[in-house]
Amino acid sequence: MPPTTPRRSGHDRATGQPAAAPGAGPGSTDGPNRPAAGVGSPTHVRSGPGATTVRAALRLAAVLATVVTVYAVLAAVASRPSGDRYLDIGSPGPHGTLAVAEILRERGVTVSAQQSVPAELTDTGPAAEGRRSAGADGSRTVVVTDPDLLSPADLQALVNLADTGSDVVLVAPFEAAVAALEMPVAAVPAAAFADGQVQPRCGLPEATVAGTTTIGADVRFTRADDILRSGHEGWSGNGIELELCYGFPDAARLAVLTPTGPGLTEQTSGRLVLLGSGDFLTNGALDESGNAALAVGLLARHTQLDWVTPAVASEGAVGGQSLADLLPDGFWVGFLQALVALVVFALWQGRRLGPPVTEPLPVVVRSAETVEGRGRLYAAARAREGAAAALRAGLRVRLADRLGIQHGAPAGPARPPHEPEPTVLVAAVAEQTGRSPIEIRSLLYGSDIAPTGHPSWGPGSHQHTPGGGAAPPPHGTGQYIGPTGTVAGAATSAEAAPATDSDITLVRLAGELHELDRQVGRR
Amino acid sequence: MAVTGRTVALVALGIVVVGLSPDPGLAFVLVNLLILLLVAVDLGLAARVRLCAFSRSGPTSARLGQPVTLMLTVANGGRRTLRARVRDSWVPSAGAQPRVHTVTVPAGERRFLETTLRPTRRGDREPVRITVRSLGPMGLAGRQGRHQAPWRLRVLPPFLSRRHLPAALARLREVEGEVALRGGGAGSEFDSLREYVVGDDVRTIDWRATARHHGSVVVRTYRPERDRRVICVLDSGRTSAGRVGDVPRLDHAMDAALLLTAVALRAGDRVGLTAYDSAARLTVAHARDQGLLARMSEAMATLEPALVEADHEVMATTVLRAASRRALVVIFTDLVPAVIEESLLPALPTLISRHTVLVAALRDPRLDELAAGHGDVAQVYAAAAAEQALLRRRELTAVLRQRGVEVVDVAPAQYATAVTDTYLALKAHGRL
Repeated sequence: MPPTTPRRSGHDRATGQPAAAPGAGPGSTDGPNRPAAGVGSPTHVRSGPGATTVRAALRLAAVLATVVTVYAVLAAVASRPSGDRYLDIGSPGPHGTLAVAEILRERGVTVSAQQSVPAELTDTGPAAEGRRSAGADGSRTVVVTDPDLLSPADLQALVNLADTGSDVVLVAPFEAAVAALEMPVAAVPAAAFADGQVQPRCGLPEATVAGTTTIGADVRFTRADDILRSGHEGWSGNGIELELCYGFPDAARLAVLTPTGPGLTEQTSGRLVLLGSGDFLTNGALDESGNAALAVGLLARHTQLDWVTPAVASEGAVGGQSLADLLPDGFWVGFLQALVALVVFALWQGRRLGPPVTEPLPVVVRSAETVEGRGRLYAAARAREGAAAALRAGLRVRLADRLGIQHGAPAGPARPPHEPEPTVLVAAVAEQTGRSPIEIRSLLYGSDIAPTGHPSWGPGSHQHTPGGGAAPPPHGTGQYIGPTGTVAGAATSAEAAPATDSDITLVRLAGELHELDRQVGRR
Repeated sequence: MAVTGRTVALVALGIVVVGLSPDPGLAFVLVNLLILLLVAVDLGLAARVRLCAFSRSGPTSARLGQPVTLMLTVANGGRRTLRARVRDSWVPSAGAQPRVHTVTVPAGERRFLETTLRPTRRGDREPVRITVRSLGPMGLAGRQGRHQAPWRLRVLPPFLSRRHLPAALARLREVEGEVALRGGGAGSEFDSLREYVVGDDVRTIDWRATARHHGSVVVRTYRPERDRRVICVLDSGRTSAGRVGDVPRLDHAMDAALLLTAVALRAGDRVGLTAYDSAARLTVAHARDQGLLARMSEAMATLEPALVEADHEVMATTVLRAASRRALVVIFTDLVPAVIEESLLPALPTLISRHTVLVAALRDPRLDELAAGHGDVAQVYAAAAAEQALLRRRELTAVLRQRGVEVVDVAPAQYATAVTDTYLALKAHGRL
């Protein structure tokens, strides 16, 4: 066959094909017989997605875009704050704190919710000094529900605020936040302690008034002497008085730090309050034991209350220090480059050199599968008599072949053509093996001497014998029936009577038959 | 469009460059722009896939088990050198190797790629497509496209029983009397006259010839009939789909039919072939030329078992129509009681009245294996089922023999030789 000259296209298209298969095969429809387009060579086939596929993909993309947009809009609408958020001052649910806010308002306190600590409170300029000198006039109460989200600078500002006559209440500050206060107090993890009713066990007037409360213990506080010992003083120029309530001094649920010094009285000084948990402030728990009294006592000392719920962690938050802050800038861009590399790797590996090839294959079944299946059916039906009869019949035929006994020699009309004469067979086998004829007979024929044909049991099996002879009468399943009747006027159904009433007996019988087979084969 | 491992390596190298540079953001942009530019340039310089052309050459048929080497010619019709990875994809059962060729074809030249097929199945094998990925000079990216170069490789039956052919031919010579044995060859057809030697059958003396010959007694010699007809009939119904060993029954039958054909051709007989399931599938007309064996292999190659019951009546009609003279009809089928009793036995009388019939059945050795099992309960029940199946086969054999049909029921190892031996025995007895 002359090879195709590639530059000539069009008129010699057929030369690239074998003579045996002109225009045949998968290429006949869209292959070389298609008019060659433009500069393409005769064997080239256009590949890639067709116009229909592209259109379908565009439609799919449009549907997906619509779904995503609708979902985004719905999610934005649905996610407006309306739920029962923990310690939310506007929430009437069991986890909110609307009740305590209402109580405070009734007492003339102006309650305002904040998302961050107000800037004018934390600046440390002359205005702060002015506030300090002004005494109680500018003082207020600041509650921070999640102090872990504040930066150390913010916390220091709050500490200073307490020094200027305001009350600062921190709800459940964890170790990092407490340490950042630089006060002679430390947080103790509260894993093994049970919540519940607790006694004040201290001299704080508010606690004494409230009595027993269920103030929780997410965090516990203890005195941190080492800070004092190192000479550090949280409030410049003033001493510190630490009151630990509700619990033992080494694990208290409430810590109150008060600056002490000249000119500071209980009324004019601010204080720093650390709560082990905010649970007792919630609507659900406020009416239990002395919770309400404690809440009012702690929060109603000033006419202005700022309820600060930090929305997002401020930069360098004490609780949010992560590995990311410690890594150099190049790492993140390098990581981005690694992502690009991953994408390119996927492109490299994902582009296959042609799609997989399919092939219709013919059905292949093992030929003996039906026989094996039938064996399992017999086992499931416990057709022991039938199985025993089949094994015996098979062995009889094999033995007769081996001993040279003509199967059909004196063939009676009632015996199938392959079945040997019983007396001749038994005698020959007994002579061959030296075992008693009675034993051989009972092995080969069961207890009944009646010659049995091939086994057949149950309706639907092969009861029709083409060699002639009447079909046996139907009989119950599991019963053995001689298909062509029996000799000498015996009963029409000759049951193989040996004790094959259990599978063990059947296996033993099979073993004995096999042994006999082996003995005769030895010659 | 496709990128290569080199592009991936470049981008991965970029991780180090970006990570160590003083201005990572700028470096990121620059590195990736540079790589993108290189890839675009490489892609632009790659040879165009549609400008190359493919053609094939090589054998169009082979016996199963023989490796076949086909030549795939790549002609580059463009102006740039083609550096390509070429995948010549065939259906899996063609066993094409190698999967991917790497080739460089300068502009305007041709290169030859060798694809070796090791088919695992009989029948026609065709290539599906040729996928070409043309890489640029830097090997960073490539264009990909598709070509077609149709071909058809017909995989013929393996004819493994070929190795039995010399022995079968030796037996044929015995039958024909060409070997010095006592007596002449068997048969009833007159061959020649020769002088009487002691030991010849006196009944073979030709008295008329003796009278013409002065002084010596002349005997006739006989030889087996020549120019008889043999029809191989393959059952391609559902029973022929069953695997015996690792090969379907149908393939065993084809093997035996091929050996029988080879021997019968040598013996001077005419051989024909028919296959049938629910209808006649293929017919190869009677012939005695040496090309017949090839024609039969060719016809058998694409025959697959159909999952329908074989209709022996259709077979009988086909055979009766095809053979007007007396012939040996060899039916390659299985002794399945239901099929034989319902379909073959009613069709037999007309066949037997005009032809000699030989039923060649393949016995699954697994049956004997199962029948010998006696280890546990499951094995004993399986043995009982196998014994029952064997007894049924025996009974069917007896029934068929009673009607004057020759029956062969043997294991795969002896199948082909047993069929041929039966043919030779029939020939020796003048029963063809």
